[in-house]
Amino acid sequence: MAKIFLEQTDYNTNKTPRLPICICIDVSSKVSAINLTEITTFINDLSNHILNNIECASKVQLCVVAFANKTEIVSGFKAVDATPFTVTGSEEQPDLDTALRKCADLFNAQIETYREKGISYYLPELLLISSGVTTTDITETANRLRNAQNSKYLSLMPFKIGEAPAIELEKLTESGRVYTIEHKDFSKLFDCMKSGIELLSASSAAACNSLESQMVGWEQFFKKDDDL
Amino acid sequence: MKVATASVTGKTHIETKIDCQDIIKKYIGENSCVTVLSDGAGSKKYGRRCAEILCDAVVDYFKEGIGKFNSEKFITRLLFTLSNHDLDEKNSGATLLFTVVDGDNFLIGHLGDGVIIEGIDTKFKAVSLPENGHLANLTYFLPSSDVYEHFRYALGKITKNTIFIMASDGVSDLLYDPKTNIGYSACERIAEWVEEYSETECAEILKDNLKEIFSNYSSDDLSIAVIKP
Repeated sequence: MAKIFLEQTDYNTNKTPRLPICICIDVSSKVSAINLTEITTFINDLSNHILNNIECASKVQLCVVAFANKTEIVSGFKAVDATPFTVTGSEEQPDLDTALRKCADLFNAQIETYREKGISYYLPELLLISSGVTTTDITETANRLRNAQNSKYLSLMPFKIGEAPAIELEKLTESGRVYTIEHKDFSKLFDCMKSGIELLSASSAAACNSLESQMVGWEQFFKKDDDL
Repeated sequence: MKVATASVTGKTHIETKIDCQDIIKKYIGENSCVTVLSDGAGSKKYGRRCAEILCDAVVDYFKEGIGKFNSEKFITRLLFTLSNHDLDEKNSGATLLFTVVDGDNFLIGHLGDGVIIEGIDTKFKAVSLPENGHLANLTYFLPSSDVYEHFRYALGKITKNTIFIMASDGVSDLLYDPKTNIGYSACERIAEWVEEYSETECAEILKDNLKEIFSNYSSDDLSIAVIKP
């Protein structure tokens, strides 16, 4: 018997669940350890990695936000394409609160879009790379972000670079966990991101009442990795 | 009565050399039929075993028809069976979809993701939708403490042209419009295959489509069952 297949018009091809990821980077002069040329290269390398993995390419929607005293949306949530990202620095002091609020708003808008289009989505991931310094009080925004995490609407991973205390960043998660990284670890951090994104994109359903299983990917990698 | 089923191991499980976690079992009696599809949780140690035991337990429960069905007692029995096999919320988990045809009556039951689509003539509608909380990669499993809240079922009458399609997640997304719950024309094609071909041939066609078509959109295990009373 000859093989019989459905035609592409017979089924819906655009209902792949989406995985929204936002990378929010402190580009102020306070973050002296960040080499912007290098981090731009890492982001573009991550973007190419996503593009070259069929599953990631169809699911991941990447957003990049850079902030100093002003917050710049380098790229809003979109499927990764070949267009390179460009991140520019600033001499100004970082306004972390505005940046985080902007990220939260971007996530809300993106999720609303998914809902309107009937597209399901994975737990959104926010990766913050910050000096830990801020000119503004983040308490209220941190509460909002913690509530979002507790209600399983967001996963937030704060990475601190530099010597400033982590006290502000500790407000962002219930556990108060902040990953302190050095400049030399950036390459490893982005490698972990690649693996984590691959794992998340390929993950099948976990139990609704199990929060930790949502973290498959990131948590696994960073727990394993003593250097970070 | 025709029941054609197919399952294929997802790309992720092939790469990691893990068996397909989806299980389908069927029982065809004189005037009745039970078809069960269970998707074992890949994140749990005994996901597949849990799915197998659930399928057997559901077939066993409904072999005599739907007359004695009581949802609470049914769920309690499934939990008891899993517990007897040392399966608990920590080490195991599986979703559940089933269709029981008993004379002119049918019963569908569902916990977790996947979909049950009912077709009458050429009109197909998703009658039991995936329950994912608000995230695509979260769902409800047996055993769990909240299973009584989330188990859904519906009873109805079979008409001349009734057909049911049960699909695991990964397949389900492609079969119907989530805004209207109306089935895409794939459902019609599948119904035509069941009419036109033998059960075995239809199962082969379904398998080919899971492998060649649906696997392009999901790396998860993929399963489908078509029941033509």
